[in-house]
Amino acid sequence: MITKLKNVRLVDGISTSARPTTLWIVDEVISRKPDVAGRVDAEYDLAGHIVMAGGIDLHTHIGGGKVNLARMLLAKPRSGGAMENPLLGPLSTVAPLSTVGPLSSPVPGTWETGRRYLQMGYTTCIEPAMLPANARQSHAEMQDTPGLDTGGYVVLGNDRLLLRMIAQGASQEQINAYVGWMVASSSALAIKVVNAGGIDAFKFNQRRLDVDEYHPQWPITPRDILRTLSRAAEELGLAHPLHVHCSNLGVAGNIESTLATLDAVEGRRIHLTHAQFHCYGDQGPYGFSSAAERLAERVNRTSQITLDVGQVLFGQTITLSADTMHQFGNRKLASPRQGVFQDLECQAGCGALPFRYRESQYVHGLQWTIGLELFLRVQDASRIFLTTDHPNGGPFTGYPHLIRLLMDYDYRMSIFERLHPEVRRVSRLGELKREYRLDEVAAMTRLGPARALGLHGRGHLMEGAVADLVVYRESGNAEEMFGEPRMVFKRGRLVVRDSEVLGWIPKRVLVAEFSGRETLLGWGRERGNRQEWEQQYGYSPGLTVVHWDELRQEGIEVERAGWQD
Amino acid sequence: MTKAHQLTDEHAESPTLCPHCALLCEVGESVHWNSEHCPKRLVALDRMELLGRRQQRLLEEWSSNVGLTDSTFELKFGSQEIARAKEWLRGADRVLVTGRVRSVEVARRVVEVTRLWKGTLDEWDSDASFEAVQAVQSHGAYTASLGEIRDHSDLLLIVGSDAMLDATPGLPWALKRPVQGMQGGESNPVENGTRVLLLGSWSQRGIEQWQSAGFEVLAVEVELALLPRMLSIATRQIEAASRSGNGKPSLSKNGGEPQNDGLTSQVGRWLEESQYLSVVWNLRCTAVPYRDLWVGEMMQWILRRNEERRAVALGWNDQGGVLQQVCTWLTGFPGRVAFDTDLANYDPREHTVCKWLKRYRGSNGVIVWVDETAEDLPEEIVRSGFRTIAIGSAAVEHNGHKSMQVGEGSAEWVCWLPSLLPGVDVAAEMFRGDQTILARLQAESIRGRAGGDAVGWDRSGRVLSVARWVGRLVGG
Repeated sequence: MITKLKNVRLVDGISTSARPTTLWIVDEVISRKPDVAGRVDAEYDLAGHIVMAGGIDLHTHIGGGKVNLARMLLAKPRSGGAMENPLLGPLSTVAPLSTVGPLSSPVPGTWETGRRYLQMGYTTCIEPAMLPANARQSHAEMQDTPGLDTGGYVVLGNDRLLLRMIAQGASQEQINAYVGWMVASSSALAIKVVNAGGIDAFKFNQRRLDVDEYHPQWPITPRDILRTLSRAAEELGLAHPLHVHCSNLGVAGNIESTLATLDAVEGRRIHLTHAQFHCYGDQGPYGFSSAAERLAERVNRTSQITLDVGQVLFGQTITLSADTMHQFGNRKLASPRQGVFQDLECQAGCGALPFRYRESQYVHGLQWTIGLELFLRVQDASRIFLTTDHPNGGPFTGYPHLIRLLMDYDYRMSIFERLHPEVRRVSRLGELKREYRLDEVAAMTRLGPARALGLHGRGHLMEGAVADLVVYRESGNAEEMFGEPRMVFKRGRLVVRDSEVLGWIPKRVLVAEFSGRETLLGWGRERGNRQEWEQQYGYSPGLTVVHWDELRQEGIEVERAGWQD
Repeated sequence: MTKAHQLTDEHAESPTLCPHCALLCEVGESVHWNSEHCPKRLVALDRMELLGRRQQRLLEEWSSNVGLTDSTFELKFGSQEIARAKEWLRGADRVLVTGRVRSVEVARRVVEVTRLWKGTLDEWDSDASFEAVQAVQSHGAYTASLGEIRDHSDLLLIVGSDAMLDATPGLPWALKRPVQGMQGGESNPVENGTRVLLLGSWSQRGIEQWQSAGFEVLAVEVELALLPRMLSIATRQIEAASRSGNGKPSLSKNGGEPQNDGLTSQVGRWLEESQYLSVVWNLRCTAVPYRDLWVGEMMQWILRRNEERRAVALGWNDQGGVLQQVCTWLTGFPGRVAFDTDLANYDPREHTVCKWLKRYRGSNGVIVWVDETAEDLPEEIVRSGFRTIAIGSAAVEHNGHKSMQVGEGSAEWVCWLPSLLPGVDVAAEMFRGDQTILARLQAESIRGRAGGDAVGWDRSGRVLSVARWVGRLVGG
């Protein structure tokens, strides 16, 4: 099938074409100069429009045990009415396919999640926290999220078997084999570490674990874990570097441990996730201040670092994290209900806390400015990615609003003026006059995430790229423009037109490709390893292996992501 | 190498999660629990043998009656029965989808069927799970998975009665920490010797079962309704004793002031000494009034204890809960939804089986009953008078007219789509009872193990999976 998009400006993350041009789709890929021989199946005149690659959200909680726990926690009959958030509607209903209205919940079901992402022009989403024991469920939920290609990061760094291996002086080669097996067996795209060692330490009743503090049970520190795992990611050849949720989530003064975390990987590549929650100082009127400038300065001079922001948006949401140590510490801040916490399978945990960010609250207001500061202070838009850490900072449907905040200084300031007076006094946000250009928006939502994940056929408009495309009407109001794309193509097929979902096409799951992958899948079958595993976890390692064949049986295609030759 | 590990090795390539009680029976093997002798499993196997023979006979009768070969049976039979079922559904004023769902595949299709036919969805006997949801929504919770508790807990408070063991006979072995020292001694951070405190009403047989799993056991008969209060009092006394540096904390038997006999003092000491305490119950087997409030109070006690030291709950949910999980991820709601056009309306008080049956009695409604167990069709459904599309092995039982009296003219109101069990006859994805591990269960050759006749079984098992029948109510 050949589709012609004519008179459209191309925005590919590197530049924006000044003059309208023509873009071709041949079957599932982009073609700049196809041999069409007069045969065109569909043609669209898109004067006044731009086209970008499909959006990529590399950190969004869309599938797995804690997400489902949060859904259950917030499930509420119709009589309860809407929660206090313009992005959220009445909680008891799921909107029909053609609706772009509010979400039914900060953590909607998979049907609604897939539809709403697609209606915004996002075509690839990654669940950032798959427990090995829960990987199959995460994949199952993502399989049921229509329209999106999905993948997940496997959570390591609090799994007791790994901690023990490090403590007992296992060689890096042994560690790599274990880590490789974990990535392969869970059909993961990368490795994530959450509060290295801290989740497990909390199970031994330790309430804080800094980067150089010892775990209460083993003579190892978070620094040891970070160094070991980042080295494993590098030596295995994973395209995405270690995806790090630092120690001291949300704690005033945590910038010190965040910078120590960057040091711990000893110059290797690292991705800092929801960085906004990890760059706080302890100065100011309430002992809470911005350290965005320090973190941005470090990022700007170190090309090995990428980060996503985890921007806070005002209103009701729910925070979800494997970091039970800090989630439990914040339980009294939950609003409107109680939180739920779990210790899970000697591998990690989770906490779900309903949360309401208020403009009038000092800390919340400052968090809002800190996220924006990070966006505006990091110079290379292809290394800083737009996320709210959905749903932690706010639901993903706030992205168009967030893009407008970044592209429009006056609009940004109009909201800044509503914040707590002390926020307006101490924040330097007003000094940052930068306004994002369209190509920078494309870089932080498409090109950059694709590069960071090793998805070479995505995130750009080059010859041969996957034809995941979004057509936007050009507008001075970025929120309107990015909120309701004119068209969305998924692998060459028109799937959304004027917000109406026209249909679905088979999904793909994105998995890490790395050398020795097939061999390492045998790790769990080796007698000694199997016995160690069974001793620790209580079931045979084969039980939780997510085989590609079973994904294919569900009609899912498997796409490998890795380094480009 | 121990016998336990020989067994583990043998089964390593085909790990099994017991479809009869949702335990990882291979775990039992590694701690000397032999699932082959699990009473619940044996009963289920016997029943499946019986059902299997009937099913086989039924298939043969149908095949011969309509002159079909094996290869054309599914298509022709399916066409006839599905056409009838769809005709009923098309003509219905309203549709109720219910049953006993155990696998993810079927749960997905059940939700889809409900949406397609704009029906009401509520799993059979779902009160306990919705009360648990309500308790968590109101009071919060700190829970742990079975694996975490097994590895880490030094004190288990098992709340309930022998009924817990009837529901899950292997539970004591599943909670028992594997034997130390097999791979280097220092592997497990907690000293071995987990204590078990049985609270509720336990027989000597029940106590012995826990003891035989190797636990140090104390049993205290208490009125469960008063348990949250009793635990709170004991905790306060522990804290007071700790502050004053003397005194012996104890647990009252009646919720009043603690008694200072030896047993309750020992209980108090155990509570005081525990660093990671786990409270385990099965709400379906817990006889307390207002279960949601009871769970809420227990959770509040656990959350408070976490202020100073660690404590968790494990609400053991044998086989139920799969549909609740799947419905939650698909729609955002844990069941009890009614679909109206494209909207899913959630109301846990209104959209129940019980209210539907009462409210629409005498109307032109249709029930879609989906059953992945070997249980009977409930009498409430049979006697409701609604046309019923029954998918599952129970339908075979009824067609044999063996265990239940189906009224005259039943063929006019029951459309049977016979099928077999997930994890037993057909491969399936199933949760463990604590909803943590979703395992892909290959169909196990139960008939082979039980010595039954396996002729034609695999073939018919593939043909007649519940998921496929339900799927055909959605599609072609």
